Amino acid sequence: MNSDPDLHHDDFGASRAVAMRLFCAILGPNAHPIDRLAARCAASDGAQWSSQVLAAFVTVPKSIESWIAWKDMAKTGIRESDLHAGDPLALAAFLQYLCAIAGALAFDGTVITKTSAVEIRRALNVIGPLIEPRWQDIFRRALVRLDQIKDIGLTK
Amino acid sequence: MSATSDPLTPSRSFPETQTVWISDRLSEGEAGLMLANGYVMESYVRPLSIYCSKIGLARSVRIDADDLVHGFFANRLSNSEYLKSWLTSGLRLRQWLRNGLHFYVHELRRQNATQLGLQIGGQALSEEVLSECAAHDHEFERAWALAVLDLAIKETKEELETRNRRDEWEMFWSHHVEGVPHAKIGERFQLSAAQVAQRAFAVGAQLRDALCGILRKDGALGSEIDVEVRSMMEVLNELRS
Repeated sequence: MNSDPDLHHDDFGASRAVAMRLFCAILGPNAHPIDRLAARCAASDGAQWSSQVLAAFVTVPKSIESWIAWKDMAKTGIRESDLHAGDPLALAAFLQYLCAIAGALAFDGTVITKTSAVEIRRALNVIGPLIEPRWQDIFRRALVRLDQIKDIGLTK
Repeated sequence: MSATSDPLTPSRSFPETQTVWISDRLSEGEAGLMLANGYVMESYVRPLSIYCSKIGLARSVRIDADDLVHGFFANRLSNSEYLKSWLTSGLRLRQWLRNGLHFYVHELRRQNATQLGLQIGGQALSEEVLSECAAHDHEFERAWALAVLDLAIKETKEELETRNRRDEWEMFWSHHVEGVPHAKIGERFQLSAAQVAQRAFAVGAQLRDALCGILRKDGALGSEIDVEVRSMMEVLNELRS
């Protein structure tokens, strides 16, 4: 999109992606990583980008231990300062991290993070619809599981 | 009692007062009222018009959306008390105007029905309007989020162009929207990466100030700007499908 946008008249998908990025720029360091990730996924090449990021995990885990290992591996790529600056590698690691949390939840309802249920729910709601259908389904099932969990103390 | 809430202990900053630009204009008589009305029409016509089109409000009275909103402004803003009533409503200006627009549409429907000799009744008008508003809340907030950002962009670019610094907008855009690294942008403008970063940052701050000014005129406090921005992002996310 050119630098003279008309956010109402331009295609809504593109406008939304531009608006998200501008809002992140306006918030600066106060922009939430989820919003930065959403802005990245909503960009015109966002679907392709997220598919490539997630394709790095060739096999989808079949046990809760594997999901945890996936999460721990992703976590090593997340440097918070980079994440707040919107660094692409940090955002990729954050997406993998989030997918591991969603995967474990969808797998057997285990919460493998100490992040609050409210934050997890928001992340699943915001990012889920922006990624490929297979993962959208995992995010949807994770949300259902999250709604069923009353006690968030089940963390690993 | 904590030290900060102790009235005898000076706080680190003055408590924030809600400085409403429109309130200041309304205290300036006829000229101020014209300025306030002009601002309201210019800033709110677009989100309201888009909202009307999206939810079929204009169709329900068989009027073009732009005409409907202009008619609404002509009808309500000709009353010098209309904006004064907003000041005591406790609502954001956008919400006040949207509610007003729905009431205006109901008046038009009633007029049309009367002309055709039909009866409209049953539910109380305010109840009906409020439920209609609530049903389309997200649609309006989305139109508002994009409109407010468009206005802030326009203001920022105009300001930069006045100072002959249009290039700085391009630097900001390339980095923040297109994701081009500062160093690469620097090659294009013959500047160092640090210089580009500095200029892009300054434009970001200017855009933020412009947005802040618009939101404050809408009734937000300066301290609420980040919260407002986040809620606009949420609205855009929620309606992605």
